[in-house]
Amino acid sequence: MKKLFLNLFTLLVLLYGFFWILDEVFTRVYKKGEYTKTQWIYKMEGQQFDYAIHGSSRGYTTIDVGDINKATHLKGINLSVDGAYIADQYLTLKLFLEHGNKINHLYLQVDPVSSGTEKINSTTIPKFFPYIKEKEVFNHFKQFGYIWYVYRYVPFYRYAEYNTIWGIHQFLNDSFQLFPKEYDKYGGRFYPVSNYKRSYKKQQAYEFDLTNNYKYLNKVIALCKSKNVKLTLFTAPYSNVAVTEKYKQNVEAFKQMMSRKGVDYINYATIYNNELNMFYDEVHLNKKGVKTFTLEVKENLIEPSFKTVESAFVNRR
Amino acid sequence: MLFNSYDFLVFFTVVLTLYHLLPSKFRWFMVLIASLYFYMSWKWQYIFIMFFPATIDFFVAKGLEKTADIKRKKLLLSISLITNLGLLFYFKYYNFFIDSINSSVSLFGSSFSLPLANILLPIGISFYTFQSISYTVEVYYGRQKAVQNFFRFSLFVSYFPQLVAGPINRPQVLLPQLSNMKPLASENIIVGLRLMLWGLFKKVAIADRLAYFVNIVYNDPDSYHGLSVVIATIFFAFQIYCDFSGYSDMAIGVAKTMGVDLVKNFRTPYFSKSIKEFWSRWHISLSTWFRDYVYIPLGGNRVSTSRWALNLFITFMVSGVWHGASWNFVIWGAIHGLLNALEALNSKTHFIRFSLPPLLANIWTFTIVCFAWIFFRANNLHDSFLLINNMFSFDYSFLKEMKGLSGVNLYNLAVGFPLIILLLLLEKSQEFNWAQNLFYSSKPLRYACYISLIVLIAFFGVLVEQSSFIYFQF
Repeated sequence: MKKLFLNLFTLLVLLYGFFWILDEVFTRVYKKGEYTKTQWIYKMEGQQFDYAIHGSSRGYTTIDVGDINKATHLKGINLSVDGAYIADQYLTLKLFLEHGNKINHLYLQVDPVSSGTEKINSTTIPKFFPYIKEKEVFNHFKQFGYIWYVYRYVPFYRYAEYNTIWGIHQFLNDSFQLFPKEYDKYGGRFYPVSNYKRSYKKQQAYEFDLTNNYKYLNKVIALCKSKNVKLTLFTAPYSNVAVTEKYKQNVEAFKQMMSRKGVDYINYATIYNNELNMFYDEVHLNKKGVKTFTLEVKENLIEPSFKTVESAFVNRR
Repeated sequence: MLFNSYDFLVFFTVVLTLYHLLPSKFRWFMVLIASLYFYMSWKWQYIFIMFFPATIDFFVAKGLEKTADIKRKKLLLSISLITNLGLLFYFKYYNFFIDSINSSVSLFGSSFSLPLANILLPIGISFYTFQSISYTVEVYYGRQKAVQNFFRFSLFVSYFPQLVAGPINRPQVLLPQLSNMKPLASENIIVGLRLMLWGLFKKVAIADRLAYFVNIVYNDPDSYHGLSVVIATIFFAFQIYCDFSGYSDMAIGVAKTMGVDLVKNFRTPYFSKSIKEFWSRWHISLSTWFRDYVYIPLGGNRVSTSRWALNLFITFMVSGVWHGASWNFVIWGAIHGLLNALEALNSKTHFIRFSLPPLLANIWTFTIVCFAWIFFRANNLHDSFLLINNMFSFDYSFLKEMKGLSGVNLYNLAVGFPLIILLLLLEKSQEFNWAQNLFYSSKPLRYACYISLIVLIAFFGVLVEQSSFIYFQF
């Protein structure tokens, strides 16, 4: 029996060592890769941008930064990551700015239903895995449960659990660039024009929780202030907003709340309400919708901001 | 508590530690307590459903042993069979039966309908019921002595490694081992852990991985045609095999660590060259149960050729119904029954005058088994026929259908066949004892095998969620 325990212990030590080596090798390769949006953003250092779009998938797939850049000669980037809640968005922005990148004006897409949440979305759990050993990243995630200690200290466990994202295929992909990136060179990705028919006709309230303390949104506001980034909040179009008097009052109240913090808020949620040909699904625009909405954002949101202020970072191309 | 969960890892470690520390006379009782805890971890009320027939079987067996009167014996056996099969019927088939009556009545334009019951199927009921029935039948025939201690009998019924999905063990195999629980032995622990690791690999790296694509196609049969359906069906064949044989390997492995040998449940069934051979390699503990308690009492093969074929057909029909209350399982059983009957008739009358070369026979058998799996996996009869119809639609683009899948699901599809090929190579090597020989070779090579298997689980296993085993629903 003693021999058995010795053999088991030896096997465990060998396994630990093997997985530690694998973890180091995989992490090194992932940090060099750019296939996922998080990798691309994390690698960026010392860049200067006139403006940035930020948010969840509704920021990621809604505005064509490339079109705006071409038309305005401004330098913009899309920092949004699909599935990201406000806590994840805060971390992305914080890391981006701490890596020496500068933004003149940040346009943050806020979803009424999730802008006040203090949770992380399950789909974004693995997005920062290659950087979990970085102090900033771990300190952010450790408050979301003990599992993050396992991800941080048990070698390779995080890659094994999420091997469909950080598996051997991603390792090979990041080593040899086998597949094209999942986003364009400005950080955007767009849904095709599809025959979207709303699966249920129920109009949604999409109202802000006015009693929420907006912990992470306030952190974003504070971060932008400290880094001298002008911040504007906006809500991207929905296909099925229930536009009631209560809804209008709610939007106005949120606008006032943000105004008191010195932040502008523009509500585009109802701009294409019930125009299903603009949408890929209930909450995401299709390419046609993106084209129209991008023009709207360019003319009425971005250009007015830069008309009066000569961008410090204008990169005329 | 699933075998592929961290909870089970903790539970198993605690059980093994207590087993080692306790004096030998208390071991069996600790394992009984552990088994009850294991079963109650699903739903504590289940314990009463398990103990009600077990209590009756215990006293029936004692009565059977005491009496020589054949009428009284038959009466006692009937009590056991009616109790066990009655409970099984109620939990598994009552609603199906009522639904069928209501459908039949509605054909005559009547609005009369019997109410359906709100029943939750107790996990493992089909397995422990059959194990309990085999005990009373064996005592009835005098091939097994009645157990005198109720708690020891309870352990036979509830022994946790094989409680929820088999293998179904005969009392002659299991009872002597449970009444004389050996001390832990290094060799048993090594063999047991190795089997558990192999079973875990089959379950989480192959079955659970293949399940994604299978579910996509089978849960949306309208959207998939031709090659998509063929691939999903082949994937399901390996999913169910790896899921169930993976569970069996883990169950056998867990028992082995405590020195208990459970019966082997699978012997590389997809290498079979006939349907008859397939059933001698697939779910062996169930097919031998049906052979001994259904097929042989019907007369087996010691009857006329046509009756023999009918006996085979009936046995497989019963096997189909055992799997669940659905016409899908009835058809699945009928397909296997029909093919077994035809093979049996052919062996006597030789109406087919040629025989296929081994490889072609293997491919043919696998194709037939896969075809039958469509009925087994499809959500209902309508979907089964829709999928078969779609399978032969060649005016759809496979690539176009695959374009709609997410990156993760394309990955699941892409790794499916390499994993299947790896499984077949490893299973073939086990058939020739090459794999086993590796484990008795030098230590570095042995460690390399263990580490490779664990790394494969890390690379391809579905670890983000612990999925249940398919056969838990039966």
